[in-house]
Amino acid sequence: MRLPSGKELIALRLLRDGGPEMYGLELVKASGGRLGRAGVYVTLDRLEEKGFVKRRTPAAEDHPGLPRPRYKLTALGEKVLKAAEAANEVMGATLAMEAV
Amino acid sequence: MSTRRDRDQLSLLPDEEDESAVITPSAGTIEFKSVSTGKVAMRANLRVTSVRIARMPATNLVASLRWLLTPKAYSRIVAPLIAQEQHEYYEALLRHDRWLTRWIEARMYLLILWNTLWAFIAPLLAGVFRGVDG
Repeated sequence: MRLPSGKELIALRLLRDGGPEMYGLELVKASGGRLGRAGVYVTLDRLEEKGFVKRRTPAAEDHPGLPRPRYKLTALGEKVLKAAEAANEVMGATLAMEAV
Repeated sequence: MSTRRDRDQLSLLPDEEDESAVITPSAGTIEFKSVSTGKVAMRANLRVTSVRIARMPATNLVASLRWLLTPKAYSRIVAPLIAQEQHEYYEALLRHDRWLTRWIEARMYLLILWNTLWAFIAPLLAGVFRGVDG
């Protein structure tokens, strides 16, 4: 399994903390500039390909135009995120010990 | 100032010219004003000058992109982007913010261009890196 990259981890974290389902633009706004408008769907596409997020596109919206897809974290995505965060903590602790 | 044509359309204006009855309605409106003779003056400006039938931007482009891109690239990358920008465009339109709608439209086309190029380049790059790894 391919592990999530830095931007993918940000998106996963936001999806876990932000609510049950989020739009791409909501992720961009919540990320505080770490995810860009142009690249957010490429990131989400990669996450979907790896099975970490699930996309749901409603049949119609309350406005004309194409419907906006909503994204939510899968069980696998949640496990991977936990594992990545645990790995980061261990790595941070090890580096701190080495610095001392 | 009223023209002959305007006056032809406005049947309820008093015959004698009364300064207090001079009213200048905006396009597409009818205005009433009471005049000193006790009558009511009505002036209509039925020439519609500022109505534009608004259509969602990139509506025609969607069909072309569907044909140009793979279904996966279209449905996962380009379509959500267009949907998001159209939603923002619609919200700006409801607020009557013309400059914002123009900005969103311009930004939308730039983002579509960028993402369409990326949809072409990404598989090529992936192929190159797979070749390097293998």
